[in-house]
Order: sequence, then structure tokens, then C-alpha cells
Amino acid sequence: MVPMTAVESFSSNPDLDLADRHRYGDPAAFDLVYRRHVEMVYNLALRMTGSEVEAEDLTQEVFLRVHRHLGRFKGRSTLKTWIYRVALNHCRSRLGRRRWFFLPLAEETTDDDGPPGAVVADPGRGPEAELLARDDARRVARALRRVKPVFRAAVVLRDLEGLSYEEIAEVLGTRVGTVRSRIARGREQLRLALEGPAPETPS
Amino acid sequence: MSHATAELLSAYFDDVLDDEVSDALEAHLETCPDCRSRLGGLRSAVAGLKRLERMAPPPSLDQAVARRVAMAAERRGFAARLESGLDTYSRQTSTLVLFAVVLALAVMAYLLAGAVERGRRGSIDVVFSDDPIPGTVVEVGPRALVRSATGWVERGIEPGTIPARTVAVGSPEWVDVVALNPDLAPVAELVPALVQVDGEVVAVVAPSPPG
Repeated sequence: MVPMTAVESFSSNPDLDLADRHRYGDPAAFDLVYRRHVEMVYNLALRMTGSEVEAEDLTQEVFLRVHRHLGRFKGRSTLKTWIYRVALNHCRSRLGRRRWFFLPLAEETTDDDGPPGAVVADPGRGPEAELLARDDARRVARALRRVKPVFRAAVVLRDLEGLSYEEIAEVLGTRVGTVRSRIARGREQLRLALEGPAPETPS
Repeated sequence: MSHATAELLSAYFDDVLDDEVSDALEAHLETCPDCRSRLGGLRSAVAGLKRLERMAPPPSLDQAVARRVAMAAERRGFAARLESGLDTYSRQTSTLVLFAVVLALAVMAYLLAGAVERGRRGSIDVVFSDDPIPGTVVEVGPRALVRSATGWVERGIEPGTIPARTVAVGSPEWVDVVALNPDLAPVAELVPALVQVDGEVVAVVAPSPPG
């Protein structure tokens, strides 16, 4: 029997190649997966937990799980949506099922800043405008924390991470119709949180 | 139409509405300041989100992940993979020293915890979470071990070769072998294995049960 070498690629699917290489013991495969997705996972965790410390801890756990299961990835989704899914599952179990759907009143009325509202840099902006921009970002970040997590996840995936409806459906494990509804309700809650007490929303 | 629902406005914003529905909504918006205002609020909210900067993960995260991954892998018996895994994550010699210490501790643990270890393990240790496919190659130091149907065979040895001797992990002979060939220590996780030791083919097998 002639032994195969471990690093031949077996398919034209680069995600599957990485999974194969990982299964055959190539540490560079996980390294690549990690580097490609760590910022994505960290930011999702940050917006979902509202805490840098929790986000860092969660990110570690997510990649621990990715490392354990990457060899079993079958290519039915993309690596990206699979990893988002793992990340969201971890966020969900950390928050607990009740808080996932119903924000406790204390969190709804919190005044603390939550995750930093760092703002996209603009070198053309003067110092005053810069301060205003940062303040505005802090406001938005705080408002986002007041969106119920089940809807917040959909909004973050759509408006911060830029996923398509189909990708989000894969990540959440639901239908596109449900995705539309969750995004809409999340955005609505965000809008209301930003505008303050608003006129009655007609149904 | 009656006032637009949040879902309708959101779908319109994402441009996923059918033309007819979209046209009807636009016609309504022309005459309804409330709905226009809500659409404006929606646009504003999403624009606010887009201005949030992507945060870079803290620099400590890479090392933390590498460390936890390595620890978990070692617990599952990936001593062989640990070596190349740490090389990838860090170029610092301090990390290689850490690896050497960890490996030395692992060898010591085998020597010291003999009976307990033997009782706990089954006869075949599976290195991967699925059964490794024959042909899989694992690098143990300078050696390459290739998975055959029933065990691991060092590259260069014809599978089916009758070994000159058999050594059980944890036995005094094994201690001697590892003392003279420290790079063989991880093979304890890959039993049963056929390896070259001092010019002869040696079979390394699981520790024998006590008594």
C-alpha cells in the first residue's frame, strides 16, 4: 500500500480543502481559518454581549469549538456562515434562553456606555466634529444594546456584517421570511431607541 | 393603502419588494408624512450602525486561542500536532521552551502515573475524533507515521513487517526507549505503531493491563 501525502487537495471548494487539511494534521489550515474570521466573530460577540471582556472570552470558546469540529465540516454551507452560526449559538447560550428573547428591564434602561462606540476614522474631520462623531457612535452602540438579542442578531448580521438574507437564514437556521421579520423588528427597535419616546407606531 | 408596517419599510429599504408593492408604497409615502418620517428614521438608524467602527480584537486574543487550542488538543492526545501548531502561532523561543517543558511533563506523567493510566485507557487510542483514514500522515518530530488499516507505521517500514521486538507503553523497556529517543514519546498516543529504533523495527503497543 502506498501512503498518501497529507497535503493534496481533494476538491475545488477552498473551504473543504481547509477542512481536509485540518483533518490530516496541517496546522496552517486552522491558522488561516482563524485569521480570516477572528475579527468577524469578535465584533459579533461584542455587539451581542455588550462587553469587550465577554466578547474576548466568547471568541476563544468559538475558535476552540471550530478547531475541534473543522475536520467534520462537510461544505453544506460556507465556512463563514458555519462559523457565524457557532458564534451565535455561543452568544445565545451565554445570554440564556429567556434573555435572548426578553431583555430584562434593567438592561433596557441601562445608561452605561457598553461597548465603545468607536467611529470610522475620517481624517478630514476637525476635532470638534470628531468629538461629535464619537458621541454619536456611542449613542448608536447604546441604542443597539436595547434591541432584544433575538432581533439584534439579525440586524448585526445584516447591517454590520453585510450578510445576505439567505446567508442569515443559514446562520440562524430559519427561513428567509423569518429573517426579514427579525431584521425589520430589530431595526424598528433600534430606530425607536435612537429617537426616544416616539409617536405611536401604526400597525 | 393603510400605513406601512415596519416590515414593509424594512424590506423596501433592502430593495427586496416586488415592483408592484414597491410602487404602491412609494405612492403612499408621497402622501403620508408619518410613514416618510419612519422611513427616514429607519435610514438614519442603519446609517448610524454603518458608522460604527469594526473593533480589532485585543492582541492577547491570538495567544489565548493558541494556548487553549493546544491544551485541548493535548488532552485529546494530539501531542504530535501540538509541536507544529505552536510553531505556527509563535516564533518566540520561549514558546518552544514551553512546549519542551509540557512534553517533558507529559512523559513524566506517564512514568509516574503508570497503573492509573493503564487502567483508564482502552487498548487502542484514537488520535482523531473520527477514525483516521488509511494514508493519513502524522509527523512525530523528524518521523512520519502513516496510518494503515490497524495502526501507524513509520514511513520507510513495509506494513506487515514482523517487528524485532514489542514494547508496551509504560514498561521499563519503553522508559529506556524514550530515554534514548525522546522524540518517540508522542508515539505513546499512536499505539499500536511500528517504528524504527536503533536500526530495528519495534512494535509499540498499548500499556498492558495491571495484574
